[in-house]
Amino acid sequence: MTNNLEQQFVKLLDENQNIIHKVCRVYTNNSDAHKDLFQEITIQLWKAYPKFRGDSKFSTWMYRVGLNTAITLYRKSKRQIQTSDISDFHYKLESNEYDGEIEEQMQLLYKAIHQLNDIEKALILLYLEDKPYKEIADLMGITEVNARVKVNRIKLKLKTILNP
Amino acid sequence: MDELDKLKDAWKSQDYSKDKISTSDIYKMLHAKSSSYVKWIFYISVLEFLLVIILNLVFDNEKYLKLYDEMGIHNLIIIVSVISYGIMIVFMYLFYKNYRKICGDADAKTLMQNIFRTRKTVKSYIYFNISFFAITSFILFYHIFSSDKNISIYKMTSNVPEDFSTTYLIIGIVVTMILFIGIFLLFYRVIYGILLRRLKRNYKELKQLEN
Repeated sequence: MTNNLEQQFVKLLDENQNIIHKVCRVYTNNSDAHKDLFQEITIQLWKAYPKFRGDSKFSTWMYRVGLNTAITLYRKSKRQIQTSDISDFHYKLESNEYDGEIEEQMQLLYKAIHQLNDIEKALILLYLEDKPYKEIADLMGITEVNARVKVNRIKLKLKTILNP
Repeated sequence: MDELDKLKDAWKSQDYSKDKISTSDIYKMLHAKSSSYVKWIFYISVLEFLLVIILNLVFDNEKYLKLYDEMGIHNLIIIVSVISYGIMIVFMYLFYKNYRKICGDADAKTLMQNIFRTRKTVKSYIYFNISFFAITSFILFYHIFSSDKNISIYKMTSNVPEDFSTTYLIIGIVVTMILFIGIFLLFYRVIYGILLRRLKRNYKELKQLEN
């Protein structure tokens, strides 16, 4: 029974593991810390899985647990360094249609995101993932209007960091 | 279309293949130890309950029981102990009930509130104990120092010379108790502050969004 549940969970998690990587990239800045947070999110998802009733999509539920872990539950290890080293997160894009300039901008975007606080990081991640404001509000426990206002403020803040 | 909207498409086409975790590693992770704050909060809370039990046992030892007997306050101490353990059971039940509510799939704000509620139960219990300790000590010492017979029994049990000034003894006891409670509270606040610092900062940020 447990084995079946475990298999089912691992299959779902494997199919959606990019969601956890997205959260990890926003909240960590080196590969050790990334793996640490990935592991903690996996543990928390597994702990909460028996309560998952399918009211929301598995992917939405993953964002919820993943962000809660990053914001509230995760105890940063000593390996988490405070400064962000751009060389450690050289992110590749899947499609060839993007040129080097876009890749460079993406790295600058990550650098800017790493300067935001934990709550702002969650909001901007959900915005970049094109999540509706209703869903953002539900995930964070705030109103839709406040989610919209705050995301706009963070966008302005990011623009200032990107274009000093 | 602004700059960030343009970057959205690029954001969505990020390649995660270099980060990919194999299914066998995912299986291993399911059985790995969590380093979550909640686990630490649970351990620390259990330790706090244990500390109170240990302190109660220390003051319930034979030497003190004999002293209470000689002073004729044995029954009073039993009543106080029963009340104290009863209240402890109520607090432990509330703590466990609140702790069970903490789940990673609540919304961020509710999750934080549930953690605070759990901690608050233990914090209230500690403050209750300090008040209870102060009040029962006051009653106990009032009982001791209002009778010459009890004063000499107390001096004898505490290895204080019989001719030692009772006024100085009272001052000494009061100062020691205030210092003891003060240092404990300071230490407690520091530990509590460190434990919940990040959580409080994030909660404050979320609350600010509501204003």
